[in-house]
Amino acid sequence: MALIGQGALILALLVAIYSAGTSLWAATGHDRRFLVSARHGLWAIFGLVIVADAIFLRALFTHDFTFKVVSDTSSRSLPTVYLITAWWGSQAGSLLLWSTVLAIFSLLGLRSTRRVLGELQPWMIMVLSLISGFFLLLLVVPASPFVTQIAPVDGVGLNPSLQNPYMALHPPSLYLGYVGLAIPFSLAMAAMLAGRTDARWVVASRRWTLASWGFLGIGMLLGAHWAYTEVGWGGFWAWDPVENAALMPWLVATAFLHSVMVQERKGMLKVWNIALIAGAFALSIFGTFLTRSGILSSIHAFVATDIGWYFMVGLGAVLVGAFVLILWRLPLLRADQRIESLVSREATFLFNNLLLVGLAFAVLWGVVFPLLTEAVGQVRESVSTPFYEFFVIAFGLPLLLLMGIGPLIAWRRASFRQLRTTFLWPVLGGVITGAVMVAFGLDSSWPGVAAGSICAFVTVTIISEFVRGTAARHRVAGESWPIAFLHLIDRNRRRYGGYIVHLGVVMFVIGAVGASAYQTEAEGLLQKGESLTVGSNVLTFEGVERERGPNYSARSAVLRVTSDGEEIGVLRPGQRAYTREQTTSNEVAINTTLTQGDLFVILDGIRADGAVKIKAFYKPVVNLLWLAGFLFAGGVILCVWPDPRERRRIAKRYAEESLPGES
Amino acid sequence: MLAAILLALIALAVVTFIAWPLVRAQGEDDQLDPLSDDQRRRLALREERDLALQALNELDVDRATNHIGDQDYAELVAEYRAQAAKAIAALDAEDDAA
Repeated sequence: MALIGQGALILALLVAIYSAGTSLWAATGHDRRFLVSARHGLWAIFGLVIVADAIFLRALFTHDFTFKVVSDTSSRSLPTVYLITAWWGSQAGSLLLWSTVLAIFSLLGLRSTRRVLGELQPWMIMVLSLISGFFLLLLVVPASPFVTQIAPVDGVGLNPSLQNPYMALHPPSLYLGYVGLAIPFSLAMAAMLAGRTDARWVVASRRWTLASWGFLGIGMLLGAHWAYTEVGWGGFWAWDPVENAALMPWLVATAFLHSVMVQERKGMLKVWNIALIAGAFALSIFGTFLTRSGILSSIHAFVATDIGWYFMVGLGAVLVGAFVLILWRLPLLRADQRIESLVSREATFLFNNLLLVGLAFAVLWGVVFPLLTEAVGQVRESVSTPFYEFFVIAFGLPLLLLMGIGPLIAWRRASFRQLRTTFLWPVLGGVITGAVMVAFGLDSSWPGVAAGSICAFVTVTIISEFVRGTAARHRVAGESWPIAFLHLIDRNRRRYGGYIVHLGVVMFVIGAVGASAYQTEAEGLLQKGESLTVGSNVLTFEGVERERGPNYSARSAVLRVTSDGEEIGVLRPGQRAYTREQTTSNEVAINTTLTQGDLFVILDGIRADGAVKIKAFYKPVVNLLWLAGFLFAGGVILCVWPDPRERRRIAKRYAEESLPGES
Repeated sequence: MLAAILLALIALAVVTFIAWPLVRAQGEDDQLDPLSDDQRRRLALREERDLALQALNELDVDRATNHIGDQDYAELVAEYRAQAAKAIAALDAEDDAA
């Protein structure tokens, strides 16, 4: 079976090269037959990758340890659900997943933009085929999932940290985000290759960028929750290079989603937008390189091979290709208009872009700095959390502020008198919130007070936007309040979906600030009957329990918890020893109350005399972090949902020129 | 051996599938028509016109939601009307010339 799998991947690679060539011929020779053949090529790649997937999964589920990857990432005792997560637990498996998602997205991307693309389609297929070819080359040469061996009796097993339900969702979600960015990138490159730099590629790519951005965001949040509940160090974001790998393209894509609105309205920032989408895609390749090259030492980058050079070449090709195309098409990318005033919505978008890209560069510097120091001085110097926290505060707080300012300022320009009216309530909301926080003794963290005030400012802004819009519809169209509210959102899903996403971000910030700036912690060595106090909670140690799981043995401390004299329940923080994998993991215990926050307890060790070392945190409002994900996802879905009015408007423009338009 | 035969069959199917559009006879509609310079210019004018009309719509929304004052509104409406009229006039001139 390995022969068929490897053969299917080699065939897929050859077809990708063929599709790139025939689509180039179709674009330059203007022969539709070559275009259809190239399109068939994408379907063939999809079919061949599915064949490879089927063989790989069959090997995983039947414990066929003649496949080296299977024996390296699974064992007979591994629960069935984690056999699925073992797919992306290895380098080869994760690259196979990349190729599978790309094959599916290439077909969906072509289908969703089929009516937009006259001249663009062959170029788009060419770019997608080249990207597919690159990943298939990795699968054929340096990272084949079909390397065979004499089968051992049992496999090595899966990294225990990956044996968690979140691992069934977190990596695939990130992959959907990373790979999804290939579609807007291919559209942008196609637009420049075809010399069609009008707004069509922007309109066609916006939803793909939004969806990819949404998957990256949700993927990061799932990863943060996994780190919080599984890794067991008491936080949710460690500025691990692999976490940063997802954050960087997300930040740049965020900038793109804002600046693209300026291009659509004013025909400005064309070069900037193409650079942003190329940057976001390059960073997604860079992220995959970080996780899969073994160049960084982290919990995720657990495999080291020589694949890094392939990634460097691929990354270089993306960056150089985009740069050369931008230079070539510079005359077509000139701005149609200029920013009229620095007090305008487009100016706030510009500031927001500078801050987002600046933050992305700061994170990038933090990621590459250890590599550079190692390359130059042979000693790896790492960048620590305070470095990132400085930039998050220095760039993040102004960004948060701009989220509140932007909606209050009109496009083009705004007068002082008007600003006074629109800013009144949001500013009041921010100032009062800050004063209340100080009054309640929360001035132990001034960044916390600033974040709280700005969050209130943004929240009042967004609420006032909904109220103003609904009132205007109620007044002008004579609609009832509920109908006016629903129509307001329905007629401008992108704008109000965006506001809902902003509310999600505010909620996230409140949760993050509560969990970091205002958390309390305590630790102690407890003998049976002794207690530890954290916040208003008292934890009393009652003994140690032992348990045997399918592929591990566990010990946990039994802690009875009371708060203000009232019994809350029993928590069992523990440690698991995985026999086959020969590693241990922390199993944290969390008592969640939606209104107050989390009591988070870690068992740090059990002494021979039966005493346990306990570390406990009280994290107020931390659950807003996770609830924010629902608002974020809801807002993204609202934005991505197709808008027939917008489609008709674009279709009309192209129908007037007797060209195929979107319908 | 069986695996090699299966692989050969898959390869044959793939080659047939992707080569099929090239094997059939070329038809009249097989020519992909690139945009002419005239079409590109007119598309740019239509985009300019649509941007101005969209801006006028947004100005109305901004005014209804009290984001913009009367004086700014009047000035900007005049500007964008002029822009839209200029693009429409240029398009009409192109149509007349054609």
